[in-house]
Amino acid sequence: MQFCFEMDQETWKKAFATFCPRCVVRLFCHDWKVLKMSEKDIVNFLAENNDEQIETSFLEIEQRRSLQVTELQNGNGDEMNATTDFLCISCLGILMTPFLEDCSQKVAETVANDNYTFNRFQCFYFLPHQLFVSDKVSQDTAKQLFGANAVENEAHDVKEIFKILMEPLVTAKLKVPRSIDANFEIAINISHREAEKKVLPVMKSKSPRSFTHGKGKHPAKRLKPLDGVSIAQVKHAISKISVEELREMSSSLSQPCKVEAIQLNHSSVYVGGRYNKYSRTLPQTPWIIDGKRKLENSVQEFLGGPIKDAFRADGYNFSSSGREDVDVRMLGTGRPYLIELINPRFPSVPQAKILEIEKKINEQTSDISSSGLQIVSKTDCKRLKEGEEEKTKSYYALCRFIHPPRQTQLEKLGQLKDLTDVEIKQTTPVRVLHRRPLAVRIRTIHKISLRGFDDNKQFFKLELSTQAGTYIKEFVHSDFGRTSPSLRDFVDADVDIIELDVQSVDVVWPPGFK
Amino acid sequence: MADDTSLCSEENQKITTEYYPSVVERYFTSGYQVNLPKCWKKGTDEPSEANFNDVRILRHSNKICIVTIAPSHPLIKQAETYKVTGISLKVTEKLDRSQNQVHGKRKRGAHWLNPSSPLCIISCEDGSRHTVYCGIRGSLIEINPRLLNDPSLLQKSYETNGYIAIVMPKLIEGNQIMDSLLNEEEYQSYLRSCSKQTINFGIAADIPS
Repeated sequence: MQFCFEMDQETWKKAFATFCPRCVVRLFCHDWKVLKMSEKDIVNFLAENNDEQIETSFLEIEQRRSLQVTELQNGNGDEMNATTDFLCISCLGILMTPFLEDCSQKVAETVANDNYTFNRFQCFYFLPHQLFVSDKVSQDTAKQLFGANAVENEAHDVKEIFKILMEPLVTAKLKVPRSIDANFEIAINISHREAEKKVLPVMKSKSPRSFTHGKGKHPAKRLKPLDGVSIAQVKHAISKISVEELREMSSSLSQPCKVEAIQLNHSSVYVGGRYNKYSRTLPQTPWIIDGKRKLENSVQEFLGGPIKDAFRADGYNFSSSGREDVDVRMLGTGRPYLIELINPRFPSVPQAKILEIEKKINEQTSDISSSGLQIVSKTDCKRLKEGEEEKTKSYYALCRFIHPPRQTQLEKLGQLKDLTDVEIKQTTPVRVLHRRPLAVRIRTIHKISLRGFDDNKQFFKLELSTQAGTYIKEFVHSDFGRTSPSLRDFVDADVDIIELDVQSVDVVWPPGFK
Repeated sequence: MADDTSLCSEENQKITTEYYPSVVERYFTSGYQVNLPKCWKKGTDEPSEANFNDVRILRHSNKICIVTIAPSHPLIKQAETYKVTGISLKVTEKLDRSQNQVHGKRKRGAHWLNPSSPLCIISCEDGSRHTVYCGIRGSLIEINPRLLNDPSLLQKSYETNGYIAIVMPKLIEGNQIMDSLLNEEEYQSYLRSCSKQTINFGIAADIPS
């Protein structure tokens, strides 16, 4: 590794006037040991390896700079930052100590403000596109200054160095380690507004073809970065435009990069349980028709609200193993459900606290209840949906003969218990035809048994056990003959359904419950 | 009886002598389109000659519509005279409703129907043929496939299992679809005004030459 450069003092002075010390070494060599040093140590290091004079040159430049700053401060304070503050044309300031300090401080403040609990973190960095331009320009400048041989052909990426420099600073402030599989994510967005205004439009006019949209299916819907162009587009444009032109367009830049935004996100936490519904006027999910709410409450909101509050999440997604109609009760052991908590501030709620939440859910209404509530792992979530189509479900249905039954029809009703595993063909019911494709689905009725009559033998109660996905109401009244055979065919009479209760949904959920 | 247990008291309480609406009454609203294919518009003078080629539209609360023949249709009113023997889905030389195939949630590939679009042709024992028209605008989801095997359904239970077709109106037109139709009351008063006139079924029944 060479740390000795054959350059005269004038060249060193020029180098320090153009680049920050870290970028000077970045363009010369790959050694991480040097790159990680503080700016002062880098200058010392160069002086030791080359000429003592280097340090003097650097200090001289520094001094001249601060002198200018003071002069300007006396004149017009506002312009201080705008014009004379030194700007490394290579890293646009982001590799310089004050910026690194400032950025890590802002991260610490944002995290403290939002009050997350976490024990590991990971960082994502979004850096301005102008860095690609300045990198190409500064490598060329370096070659002119120091001679083509002295400069490394492939200098380390500014982003790579920035990440490595930031990590110890952030870790020290947050007091927890960084880990690539951490659930807590910090996204640091650094922008260079001046370049977006001054350089980008020029690039667009010089190489307009670089910025056209791809031929994707929905180019307009693709996620776009802040300034509306992608890295690939900028890189393409850079390859099409000459270095001189790039230098020309970025020469007027005077401001350093800025920390635009720091976004925090904790990955989702999943909570599972089973719910019962005792009301015939409560929908499972908010019932909205033409933008208007039909009913005030829903199972989803009764469950999701308190859970979301306890985890201090931004929002939640509710899913369950099947669903029941608004006028159908969910009895027995309940229906399995899952709630995904989005961006929880307090992700590791202890089980004792979760039982308290469940108690709160059950106290707010007599229309629903929840049991078995617990945190479930993401891999277990698949089990909920797997059971949806194959598993057995059982129901109680209160039915009626439309006309007073004849003896033969009553006998047929009694014989229903002899049927086992009858296959029926269900054409998509009219009731759901607006949201499901038209198809004939084969479903199995495992068992039907008569559970009782009223005094006139006009009303009767059936217990049915069927394959999941069977439309029970349609099985009873035949849905204009679209479900066949139906109960009407088996009993040879016009029958209708009055009330339906789901008795059991046979899925083991939450994992290990009961 | 094999199982003669009785319902529990809670359930017995619920079962009163109150009126129980049928499936159609529970979930559907009905409207009528009369004198098809040149339908009579509401609010204009009553037609001089009624052909009674009328349909009933059952609109589900989800905006899906079921087309049935209306009680005033000669096939129902004069079921004795017109005994249905067959149904043809080949409504014109080129148009065969049996070719209608819909795909996916959006029901792509459906035949588009206007109020005067023919759905099927019913032939009777006496040789007369009756074309049933749609009466509303929408996509054809299906012609009742069970009618083909058992045309008698049409007269036995024209309001339920003997329906003609399922039609899905455009989403934006879904709410207005009933406005263009006669409601129950208007339909009844229309029928009363017709009963005073000479009834000519010749228009409805296209007797083949």
